[in-house]
Amino acid sequence: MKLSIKRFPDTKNHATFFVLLVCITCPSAYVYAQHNVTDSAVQIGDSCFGEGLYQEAVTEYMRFLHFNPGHPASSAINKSASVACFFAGDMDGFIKYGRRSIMTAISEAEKKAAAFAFVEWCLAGREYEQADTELEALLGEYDDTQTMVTAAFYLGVSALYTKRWERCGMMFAEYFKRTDTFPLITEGRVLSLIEFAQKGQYRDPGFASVLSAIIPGLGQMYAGDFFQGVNSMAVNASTIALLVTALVNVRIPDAVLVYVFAFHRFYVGSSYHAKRIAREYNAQKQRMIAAGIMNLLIADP
Amino acid sequence: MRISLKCFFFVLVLTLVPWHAFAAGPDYNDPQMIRSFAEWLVSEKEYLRAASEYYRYYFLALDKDRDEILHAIGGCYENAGDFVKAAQVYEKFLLLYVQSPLLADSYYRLAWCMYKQGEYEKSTERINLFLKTNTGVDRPFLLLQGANFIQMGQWSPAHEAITRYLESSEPAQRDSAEALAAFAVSARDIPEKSPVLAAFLSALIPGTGKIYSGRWEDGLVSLVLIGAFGGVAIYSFMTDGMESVPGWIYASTGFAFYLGDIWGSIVAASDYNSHRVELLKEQANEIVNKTLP
Amino acid sequence: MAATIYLLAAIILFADEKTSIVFINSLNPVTSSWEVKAVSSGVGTFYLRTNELSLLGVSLVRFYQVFISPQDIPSCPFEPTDSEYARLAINKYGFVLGIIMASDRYQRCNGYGTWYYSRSAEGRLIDPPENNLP
Repeated sequence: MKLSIKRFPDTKNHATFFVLLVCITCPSAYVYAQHNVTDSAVQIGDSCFGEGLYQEAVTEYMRFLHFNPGHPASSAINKSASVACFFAGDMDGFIKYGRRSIMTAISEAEKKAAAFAFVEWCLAGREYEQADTELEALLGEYDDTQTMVTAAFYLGVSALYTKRWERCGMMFAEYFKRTDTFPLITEGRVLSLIEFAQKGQYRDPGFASVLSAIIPGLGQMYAGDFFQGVNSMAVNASTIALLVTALVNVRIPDAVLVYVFAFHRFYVGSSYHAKRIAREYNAQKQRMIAAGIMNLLIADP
Repeated sequence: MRISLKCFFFVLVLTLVPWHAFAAGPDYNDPQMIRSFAEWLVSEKEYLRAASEYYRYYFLALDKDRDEILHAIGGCYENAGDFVKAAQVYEKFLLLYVQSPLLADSYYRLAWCMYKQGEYEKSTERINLFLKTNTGVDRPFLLLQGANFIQMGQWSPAHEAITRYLESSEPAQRDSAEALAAFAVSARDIPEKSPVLAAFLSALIPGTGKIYSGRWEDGLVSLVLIGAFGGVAIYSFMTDGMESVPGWIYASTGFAFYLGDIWGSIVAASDYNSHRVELLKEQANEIVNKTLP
Repeated sequence: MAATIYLLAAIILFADEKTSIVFINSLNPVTSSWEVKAVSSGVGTFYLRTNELSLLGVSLVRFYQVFISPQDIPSCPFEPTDSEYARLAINKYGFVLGIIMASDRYQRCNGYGTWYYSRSAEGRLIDPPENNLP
């Protein structure tokens, strides 16, 4: 049977090509698939997993692994155990079995696939340092373009979650340069949002605290919280009125008492809170940018 | 190279068949397999899983090693930190396997689990039960007994038990035993503070009640605060007379602080009395946790 | 038909970054909501006592907590804070004893005598009203 490209899209050659594709890929699909293991312990484990009995599922997978050392499906079963630990909330177990699923992988392709799957689950489970460590190890071990590009993507996602914008920008720029998974318009928007996030400061906390030192409450309004600004103005106006009344009537002990217990703390508090509100505003802005970038990446084209 | 379609289908079928499934898998229900799996789980520090595997082996109703297995189950629960379940398992052991060589160790572990749960009377009972019929030289029963008495606040029986332990042939934990004996002795001599006297002192001069109870920083602050408010109230009344509104505000705030200070002195004095004992018990517990198990 | 076959094979064998990020976001979504630290209101204990004097006392404390305390420097080393302590004490022990306990707590709320309190996970000193009965 000869493959002849100019006879595409003839139906007979379609079927042939499909068969050829399946032949080449099925043995590896066998290994990449969740697992095709027909073992009683694994089947019990899978049933427990399906019922939500995650700890019991992990015990059954451990039973299989202990009694079948070096089995070709060890990597897949270790992965199943790590996912069960993930859903049970046992993050230490999740990391332990995840790493073992990488170590027990047979071929290089399986090892890479296991490593990237582990990284995906780490990012889903907020274990960003683990994901970064694994990706850096992958980059150190393999230097083919496909691995580097995929690793760059995941490093970018990890940096997105941890708000390290420079790194995020670098990784996504590298990824977008070499692939076209995402449409050009999305790529452009993502990179511009990252650049905007790198600015870091949208309301200056120092300026807000200085404004509040001049007129208590003005800094809070500048930093974005109008009600707190008005509240601060009212409270400080009352304490200043009390202090001025005491001074005007030359009642020094009263003035000292009002200053120590009322005026000083609310005046200093106003600057402190203006700074805090400005910082919270900046942090919220960063969160919104991160959510925007994520929405762009997950949107349907 | 020309290859026929039939040949391709044949190769395809060959690769799709799961050949390894035809190989005989391990027999997971074999008792020795279960036991070795449980032992491996213990080495992996998965104690709760190991306990359920040991139970599986236990309920296969074999005649030998049942006492060892039950003892191992108790050990697994102890290592996992579940002292309630461990105590239940050891109680069961004591009912079923009186002739076992692990009896002494089980009594000791049971008493230890009860100590960790805070059930000091029950722990003492079990130790007394054991010591009635055995000597228990290979386990520090008397030292644990002393620790129990310290936690219960019974200083003389504690001192007695620890002295007997020190007098026995070769006490393994001599240093910790001596430290615990010292606690038992010093606990008898803790001075007490009287809350009534503290209240009286605070009523006379604000803050002195707290200084008497040992909280001199709070006492000084109260003295300064009440003094300041009282002073300013007096100043206001002197300048404006008794109708002075700020004067009454300062006077009522100062009076509220004055009452609060008296209350605080009473609480500080009674806290002093209970705190010294609590501190001693905590320190004794730390020593016991470090040296006994 | 060809396109669907190739797509199926691609999804099974080479799950791409797009599906992967959809999966990650489904389990770990990036939140953009304000992370507001609510004033601990302890609604469950609010209705412990409903005599008029206690209600007046608790209302005054709540007014302070909502309008005046947010403008103050957050310097209280205790857990619960002074105003929260006052609210709990007035609720549980009545107006008079509550005011007395609150004034005692205010005097103790200096930065000095911290060695006789235990610390919470955040490093604040634990001192609920129950610990301050003789």
